Amino acid sequence: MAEKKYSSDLKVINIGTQFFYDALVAQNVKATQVEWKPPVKQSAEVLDALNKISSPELKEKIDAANDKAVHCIIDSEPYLVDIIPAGEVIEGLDDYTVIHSGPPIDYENMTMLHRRGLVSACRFEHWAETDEDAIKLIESGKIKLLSALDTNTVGAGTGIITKSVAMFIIEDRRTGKISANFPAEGPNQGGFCGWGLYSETIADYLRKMKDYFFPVMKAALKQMGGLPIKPILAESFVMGDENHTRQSAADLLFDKKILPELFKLEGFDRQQLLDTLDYIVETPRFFHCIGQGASRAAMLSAINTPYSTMVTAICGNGVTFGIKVAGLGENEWFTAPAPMMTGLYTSTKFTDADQLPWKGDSCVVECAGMGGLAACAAPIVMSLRGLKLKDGIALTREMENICISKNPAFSVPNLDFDFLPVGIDIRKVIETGISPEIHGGMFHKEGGLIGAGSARVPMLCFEKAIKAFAEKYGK
Amino acid sequence: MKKVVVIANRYVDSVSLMAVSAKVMKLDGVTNAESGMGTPANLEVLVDDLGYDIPEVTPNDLIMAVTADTEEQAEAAMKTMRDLIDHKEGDGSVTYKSLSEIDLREDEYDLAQISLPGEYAHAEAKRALSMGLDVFIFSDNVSLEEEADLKKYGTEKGRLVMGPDCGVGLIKGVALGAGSIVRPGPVGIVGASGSGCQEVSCIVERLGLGVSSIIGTGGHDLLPEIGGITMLAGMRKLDDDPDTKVIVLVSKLANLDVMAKVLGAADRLSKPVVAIFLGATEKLYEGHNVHGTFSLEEAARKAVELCTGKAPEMGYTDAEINAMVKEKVAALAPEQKYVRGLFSGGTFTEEGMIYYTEHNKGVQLNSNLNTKYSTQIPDHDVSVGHCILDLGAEDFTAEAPHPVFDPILKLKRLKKEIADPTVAVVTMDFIMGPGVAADPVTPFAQECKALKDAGSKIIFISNVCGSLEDPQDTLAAEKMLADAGVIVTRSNYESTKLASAFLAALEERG
Repeated sequence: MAEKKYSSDLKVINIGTQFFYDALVAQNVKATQVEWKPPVKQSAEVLDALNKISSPELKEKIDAANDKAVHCIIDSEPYLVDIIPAGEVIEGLDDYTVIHSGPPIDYENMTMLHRRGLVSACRFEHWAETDEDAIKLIESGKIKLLSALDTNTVGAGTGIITKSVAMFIIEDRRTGKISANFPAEGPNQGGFCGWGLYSETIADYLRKMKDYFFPVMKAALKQMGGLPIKPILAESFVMGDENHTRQSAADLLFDKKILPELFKLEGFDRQQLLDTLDYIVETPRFFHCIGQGASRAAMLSAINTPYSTMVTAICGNGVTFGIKVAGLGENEWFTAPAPMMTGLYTSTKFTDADQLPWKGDSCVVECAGMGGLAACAAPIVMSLRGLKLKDGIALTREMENICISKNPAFSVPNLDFDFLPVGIDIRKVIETGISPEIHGGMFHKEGGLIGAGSARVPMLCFEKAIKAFAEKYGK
Repeated sequence: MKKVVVIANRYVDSVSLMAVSAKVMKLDGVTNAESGMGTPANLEVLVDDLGYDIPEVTPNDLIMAVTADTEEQAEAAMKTMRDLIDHKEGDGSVTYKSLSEIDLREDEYDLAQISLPGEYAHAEAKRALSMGLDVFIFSDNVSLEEEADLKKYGTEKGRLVMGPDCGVGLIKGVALGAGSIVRPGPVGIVGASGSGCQEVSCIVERLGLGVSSIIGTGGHDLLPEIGGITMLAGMRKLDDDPDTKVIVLVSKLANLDVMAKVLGAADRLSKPVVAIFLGATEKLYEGHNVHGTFSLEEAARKAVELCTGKAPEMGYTDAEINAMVKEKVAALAPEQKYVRGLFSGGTFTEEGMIYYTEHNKGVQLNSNLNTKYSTQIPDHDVSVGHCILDLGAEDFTAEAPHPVFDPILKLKRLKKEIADPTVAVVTMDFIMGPGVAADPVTPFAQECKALKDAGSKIIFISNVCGSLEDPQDTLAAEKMLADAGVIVTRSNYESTKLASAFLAALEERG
């Protein structure tokens, strides 16, 4: 071609045909080709909201706030430090108060599992001695309900928590934020807190945990000066966990840290130590609540970061599904109907008709860049959902598009040791039309785990959030 | 010089760390580089064997330690080590997945050029405007509501909205869309017709001047729904531009009220204005202070005249045309009766039909277009009689790429036309520029040459709409066509004039 004789300082962004970008380059013009993909159809209101928050000044503020918020996750220093009753560590969890999972919901609109959970709670705390009395008590309006993610806890499953339940305490030593998390219930896994069930056996076991196992664990934790969680998470990603559906490696790494401590303890009889060891080792997915607790503590550090568009909560109550955003109200929910999961059932006798729409708060781990966002780390989780490793890698790569950053603490072999994406940005979700991939267990409508699978967070949650964000910060 | 940095609570796999140390060791002046978790075994090596002074650490902390000849080298090694551990190595080039990823304060841009499918163009253009960018929207199929919204928003933001459906632009010497790279000069162009603007600018250049800007408005700007927002803004911009001496307005005939508004605004500008509204009569310009013209070539010549004070000469004289027609028509076979036009520019098609309608009265013109000048052919794949085809129209581009970007469609049609024994004359346009087909002329020249060598008497007329700076080399292309026996003119208007003369002679011969 003819040499360009007339220089120009015009700088051009090309969006569309590569032909025109090449033409600009041929003219020695500073140009960039946007790797554009068709977005999901946005409503005029959503576009308007996006435009309102796109000025360079505001964008700079948002980016700075997101950097701060995402570093609450990346730089967090979670330690398992103690085990104490929920009433002592969760503000407002007094008599006649019950915590449940998901966005706030009242008794009338709850699914059967949550209703039963409330009844169980009344009986466990002896506020009522029969189911009938419990229902009367609830219908009288005397029972106060709290959404777990409006407090410093996490409600996995039904997330039924009352003041007497002993909770694992995770402290983020960088910020001093404390999260309280109900522990796995041994042979009754799911039991009271997860499935909202009540029986004498379940209640007895909860008390046994509190009075028999936990004094041992508490002493061991004290002896260690707290048990650091992040190295366990980091190493488990290298060993095939994604830390939502699978935490097999994390369980072993945790055992390796805590068990030797048990045997250094003095003042406990040998049987009590062995029984405690048995409880820890024999409880499947023991570490799950600890991973959630570490995530929750990081989220507690990130909430109330003005201007941040980072997601700090993702959860469902079987009816509605909701998210929260760091730069918006601490208790401000953006909700949509709860999604169903796709995946595999534990038995062919189960079908989609048996499945309860999403219930539980465990997606706090996705908020912290684990679970669905880390799909590539756990080939076996992909496999049990009928997918291949390459699907997991594609999922994690897809999630990079909607995340603020990558977490240099979590490096994954399946990505050739690249880092996992972290910090979901509602702007990027809206712009790309890519919704976060979330892993979870499938609940039966009558209770019980019937499979494992995944879903995408309903886009409506993000649309509502972006509008509220533009309302608050846009001009 | 020893240096130690500890990152608390940072787990890195030991195998990854070994690779890091090896890379850092390769740096200038570095005699030792170690990175490892704060385990007792590692501490033993670092402290006892290597003599590092390590603060109190736990096995969960990452230790980075380097030894180098100088402080700077140790500093650099430490930074490299940290970057390697954080995977920050890379070539530093940035790619963006969306407009909103671009921080204009870090990475500066002036204009967004958008050629997405129409349904997506509005959203991206609006985003670009909100960021403070001018926009050039090549995309068509954008609704008038969306166009009006963009242009009103652009006005509010003080930004230029070129398009939608804007084929050509020239901003600060940079050719946008399918336009030509025209050298700088005193003529500023605002136009609703892409090929029209390109033609005017290239003729201006051929006449020795240059162009300050081409501000494309898009094909719908002069509709009542839009009201000429961009044309009016463009006129004001050029009136304020110190490099512009004369302003040329280019459009097909448009809404009368909007044209009146535009001409009224032109009257109030401080600089001379030339207008070409293709298909208009003198009546349109009556009472206005603009230099009304009736062909793209005339508009270009008028602009040059206003700049230089001298009317430029170009093209064949009437006598030359008459002689050429007489000679070539005499050589045709009796069944060779018809003129066929194969165009890639919509405005060129229309400029031709307007001329034939006025100068070849009573002759039936056929076209794939539905116009007041012509009869629409039932099948766009089959020419009938004197037939002028706009190959860039949707009936063709629905089946193949636009001929401006890929000549294959036009070439196929040429082969079809020359196989038709009733064809006497074929007239074609060629369009150059950095954003169009890399070689739009050669295959046609070869076809014409082969035909000539085989003794065919078909008359070819062509002009090349291209500048002297375009990558395709316009002058070489013209020579190639002339060598192939094609009558090469300097403008679409002149090609039309010639074709019209042939048409008249053919009709007269019967």
